[in-house]
Amino acid sequence: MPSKDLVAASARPLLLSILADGENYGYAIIQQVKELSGGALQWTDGMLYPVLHRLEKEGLIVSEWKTPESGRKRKYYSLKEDGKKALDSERADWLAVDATLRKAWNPGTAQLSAT
Amino acid sequence: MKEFTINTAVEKWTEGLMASEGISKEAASELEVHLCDAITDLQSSGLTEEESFLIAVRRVGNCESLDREFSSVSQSTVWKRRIFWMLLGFVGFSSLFSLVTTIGYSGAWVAAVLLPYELVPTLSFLWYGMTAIAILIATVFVWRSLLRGNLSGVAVVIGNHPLLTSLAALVLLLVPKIFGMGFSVVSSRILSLQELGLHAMRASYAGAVIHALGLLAICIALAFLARSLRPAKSA
Repeated sequence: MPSKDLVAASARPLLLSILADGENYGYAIIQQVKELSGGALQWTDGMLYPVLHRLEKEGLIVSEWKTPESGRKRKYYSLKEDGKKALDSERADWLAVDATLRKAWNPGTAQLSAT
Repeated sequence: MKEFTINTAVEKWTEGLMASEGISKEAASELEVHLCDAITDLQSSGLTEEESFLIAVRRVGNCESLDREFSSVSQSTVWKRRIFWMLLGFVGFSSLFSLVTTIGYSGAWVAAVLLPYELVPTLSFLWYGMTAIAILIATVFVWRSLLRGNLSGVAVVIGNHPLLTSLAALVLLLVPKIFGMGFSVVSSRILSLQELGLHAMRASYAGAVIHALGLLAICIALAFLARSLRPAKSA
């Protein structure tokens, strides 16, 4: 199981990516996180919200209370322009980490692909 | 056995969240909706209401760790809560003080006006003693309910009636003052200047004693509170 810090760090890009697909509310977002990770990342549901609130404070996402035709009144989050930019730079960072680790663990393939 | 009702259980859970420092009212409602969604899902997979509630609560996470995470995002919520309690404490103690002092003063003035002169000093000091003891008892009472956490429910009730609360605070703070003033005015009309001076002096001595006792009670309470908040031995 990945460490708590790693899970926490991955929350940011993960939430931004999910919101890039359109506005959504907390419960549905966390269902999607669970589905995507296939149980590899352990989340406490409630911990998602502080991350969302921080993203909102940073001006990357906005929230709005809405009542859908059938269902409960929920707080919906959606990505802002700055959020899209932040997602792009997060993606670049994580891909860089990913690429570095791959090379470190598999030097042969890295050299092959370089040639 | 008390029967389990899902609505009461959810309400109680949300109240618990609101009582914690870092979780704002809005965040608590957001978590409440989340809990309800989770319960609905779990129920549709065949669990009973009570089972769904227990699992949903577990999944959302315990109050302390949630409080910690929310606090780290929103320091303003934490301080809003603290200042709220400080102001409430101020209103509580000032009205307690002025109420008891007013009872003390007015009692003494009534005694001065109505009773034979030689009885007045003894009676007014008895009266002051009683009111001073009343202050101590009231302080202890407030202190105990603070310790038992009965005041978290108070915070929710107050949160639902903000205007009424500030109005009540105003009344609590002003009424004893107005009464006190009224008594001074009336007695200054009735008593001779010399008598007035004597009684005013006596009243101010006794008032000082009452205040000193009340302040002492607050300081003792502060010491106990500080001791109970001392960080526990870390595991």
